[in-house]
Amino acid sequence: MAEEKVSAEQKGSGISRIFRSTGEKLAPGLQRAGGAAVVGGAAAYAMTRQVSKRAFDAIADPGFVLFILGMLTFFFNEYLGNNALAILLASIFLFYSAFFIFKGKGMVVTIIFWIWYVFLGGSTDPKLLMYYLAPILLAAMVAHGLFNRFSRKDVFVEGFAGELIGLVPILFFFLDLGLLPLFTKTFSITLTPLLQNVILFTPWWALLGLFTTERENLFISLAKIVGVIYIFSILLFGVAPDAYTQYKSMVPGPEQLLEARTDIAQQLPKTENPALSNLYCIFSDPTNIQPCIDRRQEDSRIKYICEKQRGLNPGTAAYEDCFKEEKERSKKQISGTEDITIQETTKAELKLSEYLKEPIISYQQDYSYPIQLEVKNPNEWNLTFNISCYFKKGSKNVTGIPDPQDFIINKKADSRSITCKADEPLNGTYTLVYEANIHNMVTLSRLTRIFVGDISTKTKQELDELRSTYVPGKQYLSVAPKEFARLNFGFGEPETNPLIESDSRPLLVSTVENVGGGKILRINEYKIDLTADGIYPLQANCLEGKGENIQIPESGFTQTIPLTSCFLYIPPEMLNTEDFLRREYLARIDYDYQIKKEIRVEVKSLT
Amino acid sequence: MKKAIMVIILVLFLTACRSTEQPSLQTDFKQGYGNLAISTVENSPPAQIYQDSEFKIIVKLENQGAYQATNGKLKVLGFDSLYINLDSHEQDIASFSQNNYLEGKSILNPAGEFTLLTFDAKSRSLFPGAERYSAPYFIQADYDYKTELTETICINPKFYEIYDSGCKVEPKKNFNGQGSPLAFTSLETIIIPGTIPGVELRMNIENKGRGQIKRVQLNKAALAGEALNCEFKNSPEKTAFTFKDKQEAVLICKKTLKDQKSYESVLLVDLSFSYTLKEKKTITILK
Repeated sequence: MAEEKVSAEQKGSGISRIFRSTGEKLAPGLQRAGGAAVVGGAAAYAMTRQVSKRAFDAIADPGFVLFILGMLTFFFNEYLGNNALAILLASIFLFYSAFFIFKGKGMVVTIIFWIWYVFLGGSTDPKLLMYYLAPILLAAMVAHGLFNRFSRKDVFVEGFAGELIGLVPILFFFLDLGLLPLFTKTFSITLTPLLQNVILFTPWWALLGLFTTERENLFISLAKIVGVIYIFSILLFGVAPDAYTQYKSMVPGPEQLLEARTDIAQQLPKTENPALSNLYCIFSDPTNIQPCIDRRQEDSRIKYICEKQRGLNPGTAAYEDCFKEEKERSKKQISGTEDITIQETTKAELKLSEYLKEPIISYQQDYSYPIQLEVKNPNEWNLTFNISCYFKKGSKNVTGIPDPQDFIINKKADSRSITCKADEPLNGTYTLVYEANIHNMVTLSRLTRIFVGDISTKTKQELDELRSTYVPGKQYLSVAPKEFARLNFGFGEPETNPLIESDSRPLLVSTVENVGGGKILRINEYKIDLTADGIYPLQANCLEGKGENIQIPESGFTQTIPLTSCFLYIPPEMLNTEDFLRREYLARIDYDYQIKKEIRVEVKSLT
Repeated sequence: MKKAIMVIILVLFLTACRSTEQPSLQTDFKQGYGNLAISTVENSPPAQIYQDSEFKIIVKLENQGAYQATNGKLKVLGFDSLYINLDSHEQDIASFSQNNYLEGKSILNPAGEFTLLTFDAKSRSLFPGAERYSAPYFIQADYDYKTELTETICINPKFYEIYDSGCKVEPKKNFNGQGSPLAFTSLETIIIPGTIPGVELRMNIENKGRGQIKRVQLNKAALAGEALNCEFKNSPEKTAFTFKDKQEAVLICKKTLKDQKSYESVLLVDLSFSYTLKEKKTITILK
């Protein structure tokens, strides 16, 4: 083992040699500078020497280099904003880790993967896989094994099987580009806090680098400790994600991964990095860490809304008002959860035909770009669709003419072909944006409440049994099918408590939450039906509302907006029930929703 | 010949002994933690039903304890009327012979009495889009039950006189139930010596069944036919105890002793209580 390490160090990598030689050249200089500055301070000199030596030692480690570069790209990621650059950087890291960190063991697998994925677009054509890639891969693995056996006097299997290690950088390549966001979108996974944090705040390449360092010194150990604390900070802030609900077999391209990452990042509330919140709270409020983290996360979310979304300057009266207003709103927000009993939900998706591939290259100025609208409408609602499209190039937009523009779908499942033609000549590369506005979409939600009467006559065991039977897990929240938007509502004391006691003065709180990838354009009306049991609002009517009274941003909204809340009157015979009463209440929301699809098109002239 | 006579005499002795044991068979039922057992008759209700269909819930109640279950009510709770409608969700527990009680196990009825109660129900339409709906519900029986402790104990006012030729005091006795979910689990006999000696009997009582006891009432406590002065520990009422989360209590009974010699005596304690037993079931409605 020791010999291996020495040999690895002796062999060294190109990069590590460069760093080492630079380090060796610079270290004495630094040492001299330190010595001159602290004349007679032998101890300080020795310390400076030690520190600089350790720093350069650390930098000469390929894992540590990947850690630094990974961190830099992670922190400047939002300023890059360019898919090509992101793919290039990920490719560089892929090869760097395969070559320097894993000592070229999985090089063949990595190269073949890269050619297949980036150049051949991840084609799943069986012919290509069976007749070209598989034999090449096998031959290369055998060659690597033979090379090991004869030239390096190693074992054949070591070289052959060593190629499998190439799968590790490939996995990180996917994770970095956005594998998790893609899974989240594709498999409709609920974005739990844990998943949100992992998606937003994990520097994948930096982590790979950090935990594959070969050397051990103060800098590396410190970085590892910080790395572990960072991972824990992120993980401890959330809970485990829900299970996958469906499975699709398809190899996503790098653009799709990046698009998924951008989409998910746009949907998520912009909050402070939880690791930073954790660190701050450990020192500022050590006895009250979790509430402190929650407060900082919430404040940073509101700060983003007021500063970035509303364009207000901190310190101004308008900003202060916005902050207060949002804070008040967030206090009254209630969440909901997915109704797992409903397998078939209303869905609408704009899909590129399987015959076409991005970018769509055309030589005709008046080419009609086709797209498919696939709709699943299990409840046979009367859904009115309004289609629009445009071609985007930088800041310039060219209007598109969709065909058809308006239609109604009321079948259980339907599919429509739509085309879009530019109303002026095009030249070059554009992003074609299709938008489908769905009018009068209806989503139902339901809420379970248990009236337990006088709680002093019940044992804890009885109450726990009722809770675990009727409102297990997050079922104390309202549930709705995973469609575009849902009406979340709850009542109780507090509104998240599913057990209504005889002396309860229940408050009803409701919100509209956007759970699809698009925008809610308008809430036409909503209704929470509690009247069958003789329950009614004590103040303003919070059980129903019409579109004109519900203020939403003109551009639509992508997150959650609170609706009116109020206290409820509950008939005494329900409140004072002897045993218990289980009730389920229904709510209905009618809204307009917009889904969008972007496609890259390229118009070439024949001349 | 002599041997044959001896065998006949021995057989006669043994048969004579067996005949005196007859009454103890009856007391054998007052062992363990027997209780009412709730079950549903097979396929009533079926595990799965279709929406908008009628079905029956037939509940079988068996008294597997040693005492009468009286003033009983059987309820079906937890259905949401949006999905399942019951004609009535509560019925009185009555035997086949229309008595408002169910007999416990006895020599005449070693299996205990049982009865069947039927609830008519109808499933309604499912929530739009739902393929199935799982409806958990509880069958709950509320009834009055009792438990009796009959135990021969040794009373020795001169506790420290170990050469007393009479019985020996057992400071602590443990029991395995008296044929009821509420069980006397142990008995401590504490002799208080002195010029006017006394005895303190500490009885631990525990709910060993799966149900809930709300309230226990002391009906009778006697030693050798003479009433004992009893009270429940930590209870505002002397002869009653309200159970909360912890389903156990301590009953302390005292008596001054007149006799100065050791003697064996029969302790009898009779408790009654209201019991709530629940059985959780689930029915699935299919589209």
